[in-house]
Amino acid sequence: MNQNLQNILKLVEESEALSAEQKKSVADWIKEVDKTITVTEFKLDRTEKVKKTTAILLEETIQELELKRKAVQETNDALHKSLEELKATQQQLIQSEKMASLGELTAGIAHEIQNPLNFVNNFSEVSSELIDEMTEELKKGNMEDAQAIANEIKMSLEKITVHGKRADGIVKSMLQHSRTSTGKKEPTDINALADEYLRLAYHGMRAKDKIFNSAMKTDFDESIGLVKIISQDIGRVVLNLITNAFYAVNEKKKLNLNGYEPTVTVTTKKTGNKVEIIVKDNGIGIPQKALDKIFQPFFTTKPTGQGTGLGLSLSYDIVTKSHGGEIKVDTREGEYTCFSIILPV
Amino acid sequence: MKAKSIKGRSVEEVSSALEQSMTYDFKPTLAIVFISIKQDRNAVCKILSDKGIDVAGATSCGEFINGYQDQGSIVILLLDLHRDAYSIFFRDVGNRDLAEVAKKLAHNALQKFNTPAFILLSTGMSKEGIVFNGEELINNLSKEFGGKVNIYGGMAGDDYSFTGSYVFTNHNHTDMGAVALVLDEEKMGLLGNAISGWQAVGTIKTVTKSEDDWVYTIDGQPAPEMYLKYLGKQSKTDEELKTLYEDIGLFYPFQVIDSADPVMRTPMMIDKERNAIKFDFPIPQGTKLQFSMPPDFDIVENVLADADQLRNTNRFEAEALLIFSCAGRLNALGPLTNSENDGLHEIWKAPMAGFFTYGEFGKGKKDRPEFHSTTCCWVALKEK
Ligand SMILES: Nc1ncnc2c1ncn2[C@@H]1O[C@H](COP(=O)(O)OP(=O)(O)OP(=O)(O)O)[C@@H](O)[C@H]1O
Ligand SMILES: [Mg+2]
Repeated sequence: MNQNLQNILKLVEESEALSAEQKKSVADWIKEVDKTITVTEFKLDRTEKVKKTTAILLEETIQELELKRKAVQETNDALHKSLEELKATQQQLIQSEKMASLGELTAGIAHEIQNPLNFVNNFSEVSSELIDEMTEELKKGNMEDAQAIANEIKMSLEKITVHGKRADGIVKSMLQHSRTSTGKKEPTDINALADEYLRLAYHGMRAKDKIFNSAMKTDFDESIGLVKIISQDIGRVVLNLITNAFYAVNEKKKLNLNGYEPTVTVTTKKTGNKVEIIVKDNGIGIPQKALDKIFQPFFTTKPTGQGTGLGLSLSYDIVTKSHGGEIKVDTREGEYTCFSIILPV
Repeated sequence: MKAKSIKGRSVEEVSSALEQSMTYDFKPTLAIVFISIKQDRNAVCKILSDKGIDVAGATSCGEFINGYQDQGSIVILLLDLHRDAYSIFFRDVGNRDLAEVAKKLAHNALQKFNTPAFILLSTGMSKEGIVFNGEELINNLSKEFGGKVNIYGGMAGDDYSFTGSYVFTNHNHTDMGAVALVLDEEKMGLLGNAISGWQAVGTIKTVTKSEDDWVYTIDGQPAPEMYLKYLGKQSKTDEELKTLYEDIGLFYPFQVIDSADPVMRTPMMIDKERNAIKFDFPIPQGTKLQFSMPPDFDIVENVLADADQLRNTNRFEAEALLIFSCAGRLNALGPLTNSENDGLHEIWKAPMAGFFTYGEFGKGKKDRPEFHSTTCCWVALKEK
């Protein structure tokens, strides 16, 4: 017991002024006080000890936090770097996707050039024969006949020019497609563009898959006129959509459904100050759970190695970002898919 | 059932307390004895035996009954309970397989009663310094009943001297074994709980070098250095190191946090030559440790509030109360342990006895009996 308390207790016990009962009360109080002091002393002492330890632990925790912060920082930097690398890779992929679609086009292009070339060859031969005939007639002094033949030759030459120009156009558009986008909007005949890519895509598919076949329908709004767009970019969008459409009808065809006729329809429409390009197919459609993802880069349901899954993602960027337009999809699984590109004019 | 708790600082004192307690309407059949190793166990057992009283006892690190707490003394909970309602089993385990021991004990208990409950007293540390694996014993025993059994108790102490702790009955005693006071739960009701309050704090550390219960390095640093650093004591003389356990080992145990349930591991001693810390149990390399801090002072109120709530929800009226309080609590809570133990007595208003232990057995947060350390573990008893 605390010495002072002991003194008090002694004094009280010896006191004659207090009754026995009072003495007992005082003694009890003093015991209570002593207990409180003991507890308080203990608490103080323990608090001191714990304080020391807590300070050390706190210091340690701070150190570890600092280490963790550094680690997080490093991870962050590394992440940043890989993000940059990823972006670069993506850029490369975009380029190679472009090249790939060019490859797909080559077959179509070859086929397309073949036609005018045939014409050019035929009409050259025909012209050559006609010249021989004309020479004969001239020798005979048959001026009237010679004149008629000359007219035919002229028509034939005109046809050669037309078909030559067509081949020229095809080659130019191919070059345009492979060139990196100039980003410049130029007045473009959207109907012609759609028509061209439809045929190119079709022949591209045929070249890869001999038995591929599909009906192609077009419904062009002739009132559209020229629209200012980055033509090689929109060209790629249209090509992507049509290629996807052909793929979808071909997949459905593989199911050997009775009376199934693969059909891809390309429609253009002008409404108010908007131009719409609609690519519709009666193929396999898109299941609901895939629908949210089709515009994500690298999402594909094609077997590995066959699709990059970049087609729609790039198309989306081209339409929305560089043209301020919209790309919409309407589909029913197993029945149809209809993509619309809506461009402001 | 009638109960009385008595105490004494000597055999004589206890003897006369016993005489006084035995009245015409109180004839105890059973004595639960907690006794300092400094006292003469055999003499106490003889006195009790002479009166025809059965003994189940353990040595301690401090003893208490309602209104009294001391170290180096003797306390006894006397029960006037029909011999049909209980049975005492003594097991000198030595180095036998604890799973086997537990199985037999369960078997024997079930031969006696349909629904046995256990007041389990085990040794803490043998003369040779080997720690009794109370955890394994209770886990195996509990398993025999699919976890659906009441087991409460504690591991014997030796006044922090580490010279050996003992459990005993009237004529047997061991420094490596257990005494089970098995109660018939068809006749007896038990209600108890175990609450620690120690909290893991600071960073998570990994044991980088260890061998059995010796830990050499933690996070690549010498373990003693690190441990002492926490205590704000950089270097210590050998003499001081000896008292380390008493001082702080129980005060700041480590929490092993690998498994789903963290368990406490207590540093037992520091060997300067080996430059290692000896723990109470083997600590494999790679173990994750966290330093732990003693409870806030309000733990006492929490323990009491919890007991009060248990009493109210179960509408349990106790006739006797046993408390097994971790020896570390005495260090960490000092005089507050008085408030804790007496507070429990206040709640149950029944004769109480208890001791400071080297480990506790009882139901805590989980729905089955477990081994604990650092807890205040109590069990209230009544005859149905
Ligand atoms: N017309 C469509 N009908 C059904 N599914 C379609 C159609 N168009 C796109 N999809 C779905 O969207 C996915 C993504 O199309 P996207 O054009 O981005 O990549 P891809 O066609 O799979 O690969 P890539 O264009 O590189 O060949 C396709 O894999 C397909 O699952
Ligand atoms: Mg595609």
